[in-house]
Amino acid sequence: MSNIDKVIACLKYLEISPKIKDKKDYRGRFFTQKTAFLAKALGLNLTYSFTPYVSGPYSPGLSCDYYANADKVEALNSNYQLSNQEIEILDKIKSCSGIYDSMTLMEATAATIYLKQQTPQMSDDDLFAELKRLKPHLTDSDKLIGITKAKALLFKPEYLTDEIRKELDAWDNVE
Amino acid sequence: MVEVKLTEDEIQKLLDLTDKLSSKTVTLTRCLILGLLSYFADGIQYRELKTALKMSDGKLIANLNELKTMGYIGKSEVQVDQRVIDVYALTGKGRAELTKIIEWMKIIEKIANEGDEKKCQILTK
Repeated sequence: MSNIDKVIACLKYLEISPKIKDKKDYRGRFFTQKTAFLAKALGLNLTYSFTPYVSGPYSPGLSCDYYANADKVEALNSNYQLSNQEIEILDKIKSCSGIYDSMTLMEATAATIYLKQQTPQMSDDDLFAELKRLKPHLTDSDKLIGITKAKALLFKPEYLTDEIRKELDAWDNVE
Repeated sequence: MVEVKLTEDEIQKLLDLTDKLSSKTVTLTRCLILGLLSYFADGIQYRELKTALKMSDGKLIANLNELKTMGYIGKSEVQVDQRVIDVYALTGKGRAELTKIIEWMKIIEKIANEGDEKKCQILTK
């Protein structure tokens, strides 16, 4: 199954309907790009490569595909059947509240995930500084919330050790 | 005897193509803008272009306006959250001009490479 069919299946699941042929629907294409990036970053098998610069993360290969298959994308027409594992990934993206309400927050979140994948040991301070360099138009608040959202998306259940669980419980029970 | 591979045709082709290029387009900034807009087919927000090119508003706007007047790029306004942002995109005419520039550079590359090869052959004699 082609990459674009997988992306269409993801958009359909997330109820995103971009209007590819409408040049003014920048928002729809923006969220298509970022959704494909997030899905790939969280484990969905897509072969598009993304650049963090300018409008990044952005894939020119994906843009070629959605322009070439504009009718199909607009109709959300795909025969690709998402696996349970892929649905789990999309549910995680769906549950990350606010990222589909704000383009700047989505941009900050996606860019943070890109940076974290390139340099996993990067500290929050370094992430913030790098985001500031790459995306000076984002507000500090977008950058901070974006880093938090990215961490939530990249979080894996195995990170939650008994020690961390106890500490979290203690914080939850603070009077 | 050193064999000269470069033909007069090649030089003539370069000169012909040079005549067809607009000297207003072949500047570092304008080529860069056309190249970036060709890569980002969805268009680029003004503020992102400014970050990428590290340029003052005055210089960037002057270059964008000139390319727009020549019909190589188009500008549209898009809603990004609560703000209206200018987005620039390459037009068909702009893409054709960029293709001509690339062709022109390829011939220059070919001529330069063959010149180097010829020089090497002379030096190693």
